[in-house]
Amino acid sequence: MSNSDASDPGTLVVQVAFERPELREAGLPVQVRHLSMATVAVGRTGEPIAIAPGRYLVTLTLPGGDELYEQVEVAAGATSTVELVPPPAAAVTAPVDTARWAAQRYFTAVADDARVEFEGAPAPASPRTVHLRLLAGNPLDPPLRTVGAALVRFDRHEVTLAGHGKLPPLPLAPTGQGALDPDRYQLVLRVPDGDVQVLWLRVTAPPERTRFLAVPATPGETCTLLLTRAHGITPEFHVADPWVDALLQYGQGGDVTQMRALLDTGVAADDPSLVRRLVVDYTVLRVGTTPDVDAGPALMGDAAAPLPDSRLIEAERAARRGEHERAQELFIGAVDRGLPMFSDGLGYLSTRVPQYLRLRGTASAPDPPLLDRLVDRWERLRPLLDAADLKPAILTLRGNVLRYSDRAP
Amino acid sequence: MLTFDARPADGAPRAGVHALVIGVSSYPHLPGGSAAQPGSAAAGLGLTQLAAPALTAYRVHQWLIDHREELPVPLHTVRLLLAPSAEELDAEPSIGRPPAGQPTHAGIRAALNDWRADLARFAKSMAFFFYSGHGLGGTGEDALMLAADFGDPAVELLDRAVSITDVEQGMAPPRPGGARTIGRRQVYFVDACRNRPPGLTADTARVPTVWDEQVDTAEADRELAILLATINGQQAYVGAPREATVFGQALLECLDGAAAEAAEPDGSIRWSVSTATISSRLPERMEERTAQLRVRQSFRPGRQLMPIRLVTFAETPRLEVTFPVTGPTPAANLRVDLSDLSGVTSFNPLELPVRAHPVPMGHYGIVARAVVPPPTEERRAVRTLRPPRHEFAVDL
Repeated sequence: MSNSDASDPGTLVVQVAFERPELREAGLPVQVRHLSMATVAVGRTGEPIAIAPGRYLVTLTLPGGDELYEQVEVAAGATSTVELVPPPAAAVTAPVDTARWAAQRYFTAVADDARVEFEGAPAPASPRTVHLRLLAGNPLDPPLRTVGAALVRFDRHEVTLAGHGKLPPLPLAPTGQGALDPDRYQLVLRVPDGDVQVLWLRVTAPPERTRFLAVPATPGETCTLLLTRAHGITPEFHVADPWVDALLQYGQGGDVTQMRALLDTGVAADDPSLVRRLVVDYTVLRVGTTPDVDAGPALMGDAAAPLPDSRLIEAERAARRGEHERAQELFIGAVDRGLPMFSDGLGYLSTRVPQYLRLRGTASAPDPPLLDRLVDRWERLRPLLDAADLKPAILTLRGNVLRYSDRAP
Repeated sequence: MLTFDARPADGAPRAGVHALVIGVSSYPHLPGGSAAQPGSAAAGLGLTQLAAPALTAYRVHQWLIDHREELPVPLHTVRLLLAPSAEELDAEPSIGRPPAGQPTHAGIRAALNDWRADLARFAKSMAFFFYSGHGLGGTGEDALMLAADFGDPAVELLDRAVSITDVEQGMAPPRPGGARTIGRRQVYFVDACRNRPPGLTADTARVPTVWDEQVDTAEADRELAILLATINGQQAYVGAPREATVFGQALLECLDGAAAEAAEPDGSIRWSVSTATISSRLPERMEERTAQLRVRQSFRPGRQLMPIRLVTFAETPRLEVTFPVTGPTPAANLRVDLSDLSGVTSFNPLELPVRAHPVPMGHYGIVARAVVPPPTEERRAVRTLRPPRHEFAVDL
């Protein structure tokens, strides 16, 4: 044992008093600043940060956009812990339903006594009834087919699942203090075992139009469907991995600084899920620095191959490297697999392909046979593009645009 | 039309910022315009004359010139194309001095090709593009910008539109090994609607290219940042009368310090704004206005948004702090101390009645207390104060 020297570094741990325990595991990026506000270190919530002794300002921007900060004194050879306190849900006000608002609300988990019924249940359509149907198949090669036996847990609600009778309501652990929100509720969806593919959840919530949401999970994984009642009922998926969900929420809010910090501090995981790999690669494409763009392929394994997303990520990378013929082939291959799980993928596809078509008649145009195939895939894709809502990170189609069959495989 | 030209007189390639700034408020072929035709294809789109984009572009142009010494590389050229409305000329009489070019499709196309030629001289140059005006939703991440002669019945509707994807793809670096190059740092701001009016049936993917010459590209070493005023499918809005647009005003506030971040590269504090910090702060600045206007507009980073430094301030940006008195204690009996946490600077800035005080941005401790009668209570807080303003309510 020895006495600590004034030149020894200290250790700083930043905790956040999240109401939801899983958010404590997200490892959000925190900035440690001199009191001048110059950043001297970036770390993650819950993890030790080695730093020279001194007085610092710790700042954290939440995925919902709120900025938390606190002063802390770090002594040589000692560990200092600082706790940041998010604002109470009641303090959050917003005149319109922005992504920032939705993200903030998600951080204060609550539920209510509304009913959600799966399609087929004998219930009258009402503003409090949501019909859900899980579908599989290629949206560009309909009909999709109904997928049965998805495990569904719904907090404190009666759920009738076709063919499975009534599921008992589950108790909801109170998470707020007088902050229960009667206008939002959530369910957890477990994707059934089977092939890796993009599944679609058909959500019909009168009087809103039908929506189809890509399910952000692969077989055996779960994700959370959040139903928010404001003007009609708005469905929104959240991935189960809080780190990935935080990354997506930062992206929704345009917080490039936090997206990059989150990437820098948390890409490595022992066994990253396919969804995490996809989101990381999309994020690197959007906000990464130049050398990062080529860093992704090692992350992507064969498991992702059936997904359009993996092709689209590769296609965008190829296009940026100037390998346009390869990029065009990859874009075609992606369309042949259907629609991607994430909006970024469709965004790249529907931005790049028209640009290639715009070059018709110039020296940079694709060769005629390739051009013909690009035109063919573009024409197949176009009707669904008009229905695509690229605002949510997870791809959503508005309207009753996908044909499906009641028959299970 | 060049409104600023500081290109090296000897013609030698040196790094510089080359800016192209476009603002279109007046559309002769749209309803209310001098050449509008009832029943035309454009008349059915619901697009009208605008009252802020040209003013917004003019203020961005002025910001570039005012901060030319603080940009990452010297400002070499600014091209300004404006079609102002009568209201904007009234609000900002200097808007026409020096004379700007016409943002017709031909005018924009010519300016873009000249702009690219300037940027093709040196890889370390930086491209700055700003457009404000009517827009349409393109496919995917694309946004269509409408030239001032949009709606001309002599041509197809979309022949007078410009795709931002086409613009930035035309600016992608040429393949290595050739004689050509292009400035690798490129920043694009598009302040325009991205919705599709119900009357629009044309295929928005068929907007023609603006480039006179196509270049075989490989963009792997490009630093690209695209910032769009709204998400696909939504509208962008003009602001309050005589103000810039919602996006434009928020952007200007960010550029003036709201998005500044501190660094100590050589032991002294330097405040800089980058595309990344703008992206992080824009939503908050826009929300302040969309809340007032009761509209919905959501900022969207484009398909790529790399961190590119835009300005490093010579002095710490300042903001206006106000202390509205909301409690029962009369303002004359209150005192507020505002001090920075390092203790280096401490000042008691208030001369009651409480009003606005310009202070350098930073992290502060604030103590409000009643001084007459003898102090009984006080309110303490720490706050990060950022431009353009901060309000600290005194409730004692």
